[in-house]
Amino acid sequence: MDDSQPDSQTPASDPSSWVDGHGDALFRYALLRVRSTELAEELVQEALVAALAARHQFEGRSSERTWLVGILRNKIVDHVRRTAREQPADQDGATESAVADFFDKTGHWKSRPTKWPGDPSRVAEDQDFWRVFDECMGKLPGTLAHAFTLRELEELATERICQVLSITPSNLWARLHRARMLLRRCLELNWFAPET
Amino acid sequence: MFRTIKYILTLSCDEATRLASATMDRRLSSVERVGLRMHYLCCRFCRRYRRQLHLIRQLLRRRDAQIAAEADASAATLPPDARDRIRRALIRNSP
Repeated sequence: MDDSQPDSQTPASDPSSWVDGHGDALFRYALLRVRSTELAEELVQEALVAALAARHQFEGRSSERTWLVGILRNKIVDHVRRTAREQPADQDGATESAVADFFDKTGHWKSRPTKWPGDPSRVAEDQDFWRVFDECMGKLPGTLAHAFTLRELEELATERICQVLSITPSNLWARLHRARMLLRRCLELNWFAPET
Repeated sequence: MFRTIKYILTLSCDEATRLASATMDRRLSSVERVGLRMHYLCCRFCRRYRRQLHLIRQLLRRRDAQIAAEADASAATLPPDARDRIRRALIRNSP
C-alpha cells in the first residue's frame, strides 16, 4: 500500500554536484553583496556546508537553486550582523555632516542635482558603470553600506534590518538617507555628469 | 495647526530629500506627504533627486535579475581553487 508516494519527497541532488551546478551563481550573488572575492568564496562554502547538514529539509517546493540562495542569504545577513557589531559606534556621527554638507543654512541645495543625460536606465547593461557603482559603494562608511545592502540588495523589511543591526527605525532611515545621498552624488560625479 | 501649516509651507530641500528617501522605506504621515508634494511642485531639483533615487533602486534590481538569470556574460565565476576547497569541505562534512 505504500510503495507509491508521488512527489511527496524530492530529495536535493547529490551535494557533490552543487559546486558545478550552482557554484558560480551563488558566488556572483554573494559578490554583489560583500564585494570581496575571499569573503564571497567563504560565504558560498558556509552556505553549501549548511545546506548539506539541512539536506533532509529540502522539500522540493522551490528549485534547488532557490533553496541554496535562501541559505546563502541567511549567511550573508549573519555576516553583516557580525561585522556591524564589531564596528565602532560613533561612526554614525561622523557621517552626519555628510548630508548637511549638501545644503546651506537655509536648507537649500549647495550643489544641485544635475540632469543625467540620455536614457540613464540603459546603463544597467554597461559593465563600466557597475565598476564605478561598486567603487562608490566601497566609499560609503561601513554603517551606511550595511544598511543600504540589506535594504536595496537583500530587500529586507526595515523591521528586520533594525533587528539585524540592533538600531531604531529612525536611526535606520537616517542611515539609508545618508547612503542614498552620498551614492547618488558619487554616481553623478563619476559617471552621469562628470564636471569637466 | 499653525505648526503644521508652517511645516508644509516652509519645507526645505534638506527636509524634502529626507522624506524622498523615507518614502522608499515607510509610509509618510499625511502632513509629510502634503508638504513633500507641495515642495515638488516648485522644486525641480528635488523632483530630479527623487527620480534619480528611484533609478538607482531600479538599476540594482535589474542587475540582480541579470545575474540571477546568468544573462550577464562578463560576471565573475567561482575561482578553481575555491571550487576545490568547497568540494573538500563538502566531503569532510558529509554524514
